[in-house]
Amino acid sequence: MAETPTDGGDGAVQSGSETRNPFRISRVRLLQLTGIVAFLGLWEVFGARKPEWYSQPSLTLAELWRLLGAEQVLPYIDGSFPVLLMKSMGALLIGMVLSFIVGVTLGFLIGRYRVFRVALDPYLAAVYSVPRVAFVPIMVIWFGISDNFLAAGVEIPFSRFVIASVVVACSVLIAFSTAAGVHELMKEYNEISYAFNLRSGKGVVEEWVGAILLVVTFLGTAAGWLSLIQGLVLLFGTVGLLVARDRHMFLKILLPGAVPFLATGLRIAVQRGLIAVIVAEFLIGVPGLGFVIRDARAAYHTDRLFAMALLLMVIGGIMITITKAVESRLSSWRPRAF
Amino acid sequence: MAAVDTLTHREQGPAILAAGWSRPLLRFLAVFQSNWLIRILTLAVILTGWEVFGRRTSTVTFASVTRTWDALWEMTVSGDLWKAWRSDLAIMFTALAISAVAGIVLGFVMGRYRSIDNTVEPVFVGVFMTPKIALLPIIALWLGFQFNAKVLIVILFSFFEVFFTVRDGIKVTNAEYVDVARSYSIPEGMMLTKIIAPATAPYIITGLRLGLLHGMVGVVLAGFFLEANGIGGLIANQTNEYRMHTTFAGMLTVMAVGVAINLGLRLLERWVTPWSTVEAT
Repeated sequence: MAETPTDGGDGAVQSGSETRNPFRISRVRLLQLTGIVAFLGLWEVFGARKPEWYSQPSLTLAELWRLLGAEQVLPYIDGSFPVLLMKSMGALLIGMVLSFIVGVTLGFLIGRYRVFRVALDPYLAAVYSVPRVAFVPIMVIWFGISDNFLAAGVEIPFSRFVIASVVVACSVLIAFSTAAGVHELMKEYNEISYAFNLRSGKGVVEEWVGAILLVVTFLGTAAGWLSLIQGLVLLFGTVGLLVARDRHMFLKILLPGAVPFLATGLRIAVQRGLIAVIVAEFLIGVPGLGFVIRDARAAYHTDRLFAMALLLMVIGGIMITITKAVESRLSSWRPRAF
Repeated sequence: MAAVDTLTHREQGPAILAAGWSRPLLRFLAVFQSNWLIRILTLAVILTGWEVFGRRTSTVTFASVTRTWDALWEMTVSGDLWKAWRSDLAIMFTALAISAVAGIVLGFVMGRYRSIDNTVEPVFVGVFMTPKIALLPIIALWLGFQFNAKVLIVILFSFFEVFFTVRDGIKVTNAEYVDVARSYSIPEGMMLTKIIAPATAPYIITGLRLGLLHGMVGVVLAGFFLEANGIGGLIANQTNEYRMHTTFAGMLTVMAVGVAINLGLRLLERWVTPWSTVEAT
């Protein structure tokens, strides 16, 4: 019989197994399924001996079902499960937007101008090497543990600490990703952009002027001569000035070209951000998913702990799928080797 | 002269001279292109900003450079810093040894034999993706608050980094080499030592680096939650007492260790495998 090797969907070449397999399920999936089932089975059996300690898949799933349907998840915190979910996700969203702004600005400056890259790269790398957890105690003092805050007269129902955690966790990552992308683009399109008159020079003057302005902004805000708002205005004004000097190159090469790198950075950052939100809520005790975990820990409610862990895995999986899809859509023009 | 901007920095010198500019001007301009000047200036700016801001704010929420430096010096001299790190180093050493061995061995096995990989991978990925903070209370329940629990936590943080990096490294072994080896019917052991191991060396070192870094996260986290005798405990305690200068000093040591690990292992990687192009965050 002529065997036509067919791709089993994971690159595993299976000669003829498609014709012999009544369920049309690939060998890879079968093995994966077996592994999961075996693990769950072992867990169920070993957990039966002391379910308060180890919990069991059946108990965990039951608890998860109960949590999702409950009117009020915890007796002293207002809100059913969707409310708590919204709290966590809302804080994540705000944090991601902020870290996006910070990260992209930093990344653009570092990638585009040599002065900024040489100046800031070592410090970013140093900050990145620090476990974020080391910043936590200080952040508690700086941002407080309350559940909401006022911004320009509007009350925002999310915790400043949680949002700050997300920003700390994600902005450096996004900055690195963007910087790598912009740097690559600069290398590739350096001479072409000059030849096509998209810019008038390498930008040596611009980068030094920009650097001096930013130094003045930084020192001025630190010393108190400029208020925070003035400092921010000056900061974004300088960046805007730098972009405007180079606007053709920026709009036609850097912006479109950096989008795939941004998308990749965003994908990784979202995962980190989710973990940061849960950790932050856990540490401070503001209402949210992390708080449910914290409460379950205090009560040694193992079923609930595992149920939350399972739920977070599912949420994380959904986010990964969405951001991966966005990333590949935005990177579609990039030639891929594999 | 605008065209000079498109030249590399090396070529700019002769071009400027050829256009008629003087040497002193060239030397003056060259200084500004020096990386070291930029780095020193940045350091000066950051330290100045930090000190100025520190003097302006209450010592309860922030510490200036001088206070942090004094605290650092004092803690080193009195030996508190070393005491804090000593217990953590013991934990990290044990945990990382286990993680490294297990991660490399399992990485090799699962990278080489795809069926085992397919079976076990979903479970590993599931555990890896769970925010480990959720598992901390469970681990405290199982193993208590002392050495064993901390070691397990560090293993959890570091094992997966090593394992996934090594396994992915094995998966990308050049198929051509393996085909040539198979056509010569060489035994499995020789294939391992002659083909797979050298090709995977950069991945092993990168995996170790990531494992070390993440292990440090685990150790600090464990210090927050479990017995507070490590650097994590130091930072948490000092913060609880609102002693910002010692807190900052402690954080600086964590930062320094992190940077040292990163630099050290990257250098090791360059030394052992200079051809490597593996780049991982």
